[in-house]
Amino acid sequence: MNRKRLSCLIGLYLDGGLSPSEKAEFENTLLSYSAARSQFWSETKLHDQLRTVEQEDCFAGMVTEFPAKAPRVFPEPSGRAKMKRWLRPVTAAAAGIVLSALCTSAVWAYAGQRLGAKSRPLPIVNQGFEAAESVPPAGIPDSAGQWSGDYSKVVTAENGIQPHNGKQMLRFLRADNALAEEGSINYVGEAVQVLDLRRFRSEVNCGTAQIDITGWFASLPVDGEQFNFLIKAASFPGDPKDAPALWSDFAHSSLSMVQHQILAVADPTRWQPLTVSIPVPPTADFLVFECGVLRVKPRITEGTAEFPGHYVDDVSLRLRIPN
Amino acid sequence: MNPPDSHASNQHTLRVQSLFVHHQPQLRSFIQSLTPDFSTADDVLQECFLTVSAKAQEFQLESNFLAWVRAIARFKILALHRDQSRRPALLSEEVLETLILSFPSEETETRSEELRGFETLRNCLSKLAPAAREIIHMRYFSQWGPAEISRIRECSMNAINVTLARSREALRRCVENSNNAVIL
Repeated sequence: MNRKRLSCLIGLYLDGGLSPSEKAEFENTLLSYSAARSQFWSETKLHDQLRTVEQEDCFAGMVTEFPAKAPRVFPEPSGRAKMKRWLRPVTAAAAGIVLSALCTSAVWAYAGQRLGAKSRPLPIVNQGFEAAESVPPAGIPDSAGQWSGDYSKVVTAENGIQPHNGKQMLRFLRADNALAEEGSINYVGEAVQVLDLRRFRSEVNCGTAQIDITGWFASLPVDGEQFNFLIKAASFPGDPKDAPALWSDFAHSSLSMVQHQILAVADPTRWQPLTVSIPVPPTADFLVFECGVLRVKPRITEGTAEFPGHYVDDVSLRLRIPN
Repeated sequence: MNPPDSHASNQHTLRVQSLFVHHQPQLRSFIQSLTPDFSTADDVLQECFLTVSAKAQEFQLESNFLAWVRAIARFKILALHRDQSRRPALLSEEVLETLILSFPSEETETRSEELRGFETLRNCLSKLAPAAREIIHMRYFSQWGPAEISRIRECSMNAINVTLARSREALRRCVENSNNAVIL
């Protein structure tokens, strides 16, 4: 058995790149050698660990910091471009997390989708950004019923983009906010709201209720850069005033969480819908949900991202209760 | 108000679901190894949660939860295999069964060990060359396959495969060296 060759085959297997002949070779090796099977479990474990680490960082809005010897990738931040630092401790970042911060789905969310039978809209404050002139760049809100987040601007139709609904929409500007601290790097611009779940207690005490969060996104054409739109959410026990601290330590404090992202289509005539579903455990007191945009390419790890033409509008929530 | 026995039953289900949440990282690692496609692995994990919830009353709290839930996962994965036409990346049933039998189940990693492992990996990731780091990020954060990454980066798929393989190998060595350093 050639360990190096097996390692190569395991890599192709993990990335979905095995040709039929390579797959046959791979399977024969695994069947023939117990050492090959041990190597398989050892090497594939890294596949899952990498996903976990990357997903946790993405959920926390963090990026991995590169060593100082790579200044080309991490230039010194300017005075204006102060970075947002998430106060999540490293140990929490590495935690196995409560319900898995999978960027594409979450266990309970899926379960809820199977169970959903009746649903009703949950009113949220200013869902179409019609009733405000701006969203405060104050990070995670500490009370329910208000938008907050990163630097953004409430606008009317502009650059060929009409609001998805009503006369106004939100334009993301930057990935930092007024509370940002130096020393961290961020590439996700967000608008965040807290929903107090306690008033729905009687409806969610079955333990399998879920909330669907939908946002509509649009993007201007952007040369040479690539962006994703995202929605993420987490439910927590406690008081909404603690939302900023709890969100920053979501790995330990959240009861459920979900995140999903889609590639931003650079077409001002097209609004892209994005929906995530999050379970609402009976012990959850409030929900933090956010809509955002993140810079993917190029230089995903460089500086605080600015967004040249990315919009969100018409954010809505639905509560689904199983029969 | 629910009758007392119903309350106890609900409590038991909640405890079993809590066990699932507690052991989810280990279970997901098991599933992810056998179904490397991320969304497929998520589906299996989620199907497991549904089954665990439905069969919670059959589980005795003092018995081995991980063994029980791995057996459920095994059935789910083998069921996927029967739909092989839609899952070409899956290994054959014989290989899957052989691998499952060889799973190092005696390795029960504690929570602190798991956290330390993530911390070590994070540290090793920071040592990768920027280009390799970005490709790893695209693969595991954006969850793009080599074909998509090669299109985005405008380079060959082979180059992406090579970078991914070398990066993972470098990370493995880095993690091993870090662990050895701790032991010594």
